[in-house]
Amino acid sequence: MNPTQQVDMPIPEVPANHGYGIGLFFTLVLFIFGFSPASNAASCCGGGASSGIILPKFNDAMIDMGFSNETYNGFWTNTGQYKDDPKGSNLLQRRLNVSYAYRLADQWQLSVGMPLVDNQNTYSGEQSSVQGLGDMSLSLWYEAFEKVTCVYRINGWESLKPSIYLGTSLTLPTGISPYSDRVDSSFDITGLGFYRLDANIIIEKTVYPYSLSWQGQYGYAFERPVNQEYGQGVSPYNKQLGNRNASTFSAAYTWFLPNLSMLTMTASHSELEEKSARYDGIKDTSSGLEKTTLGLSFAYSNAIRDWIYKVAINQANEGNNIPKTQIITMGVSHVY
Amino acid sequence: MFINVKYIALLIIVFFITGCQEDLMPSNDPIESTSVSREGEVIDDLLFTFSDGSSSSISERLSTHDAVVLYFTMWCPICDAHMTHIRSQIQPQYSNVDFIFVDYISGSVVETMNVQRSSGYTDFNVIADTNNELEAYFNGTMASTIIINKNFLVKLNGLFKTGNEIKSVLNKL
Repeated sequence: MNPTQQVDMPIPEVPANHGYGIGLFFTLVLFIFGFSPASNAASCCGGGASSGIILPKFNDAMIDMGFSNETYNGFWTNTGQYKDDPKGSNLLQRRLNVSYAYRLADQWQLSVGMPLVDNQNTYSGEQSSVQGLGDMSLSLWYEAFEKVTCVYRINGWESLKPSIYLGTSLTLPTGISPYSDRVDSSFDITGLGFYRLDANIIIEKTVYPYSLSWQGQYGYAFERPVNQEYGQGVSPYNKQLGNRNASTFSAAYTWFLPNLSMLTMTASHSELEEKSARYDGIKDTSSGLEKTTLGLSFAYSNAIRDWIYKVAINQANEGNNIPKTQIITMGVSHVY
Repeated sequence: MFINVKYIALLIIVFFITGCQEDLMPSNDPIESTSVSREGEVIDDLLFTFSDGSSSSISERLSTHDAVVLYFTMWCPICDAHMTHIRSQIQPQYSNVDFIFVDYISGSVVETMNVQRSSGYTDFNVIADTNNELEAYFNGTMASTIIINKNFLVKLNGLFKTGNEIKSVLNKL
């Protein structure tokens, strides 16, 4: 997998800005595809997914750190109509995402992601500043291929074989949610408060200098009991967010630089849909969301492919029942 | 000295997880609330200031209606979805009930009217809670929904869910 491929994959569980009580909304998180050592035919196998980073083929471990700056500019209603934020509003969320991937076996790997969230809001005259841990994620991936599939030219059908990753990820409600006792208002939110299990698949093919990939995700949010809202005790009930599915297509081009380093540009198109939430089994028809995002990224890796530097921008293009956001991300990965 | 990064990373992760136990193990046991919700209480005859500059008390509103429903809004995407639902799915069924949105965020009557207009709710009553008095009185936040009956009794103070919780209370009036 081309490490510098940038895939824009919407992520719900980085609860966005409280300016919208956005613990309930999903934001896009940039995917950065890592890069593998050139000694192994420059396997493009490695990178990132909405459900965790992916270790390059034949590497043992990887640490990834990314800084994201997400700005909000209005929102789309549940009928798709765009509306501006109240005058004087300035909503911003910064995230420091630290991830670690570890190889369990030749074709199995585990990763964990930990976001640290900083919300800075000025909303219609009211200001707030909150920092905290967001919702963490654990991911398990199976590499349905034994050999690196990146090639420089096509020599028969065998060279067209793609890399296929099959995985599952679990989102942990480690952030401050509307249902914890550490929150007083919708401005204090850093997490959604739900466990969610996702099934993931990535299909990628690199014939240098070109790469194409598709990423699919289907997530199931577990129902949870609620006995308090914003620090106030309520009559207990059960709530369940809707199932969600996401799809991302990306295309990349790689430049091979004179010092044997590489620079890859990736363009991506992502679709996210989440069904309506339920309260004690009853559907909340005012919930649910859809979002389309376009992304562009650049990634640079050194000659021995153990350090990758990345920058990306993702822009929401249209949606339903969700804020309009722009995310700029810078990051670095190191593989062992 | 050799530093095993793997174990350090795992240690850091475990450290952070152990500090986040409450939502990792949610409960449905009823808990005592330390903050005031006023649900079940008979409240004062509060005075409302509306976005058009007019004022009206709860008693005046209840003189012509069987109940008052307040929804706290900050004009956000979720708020818009809830307000649309209230306006289209609930209000038409209860002509005897006074539905009012409470803007607890804009800070002034003028700004409340501006954002009300730009959000497309000019045909709705909106309170400008400029001094956050209602917010403090009911411990309100985004999507707080309060129902007050003719006896000034707070029948409901909770977050908007599906709208059925509102209908359930109004049907019993």
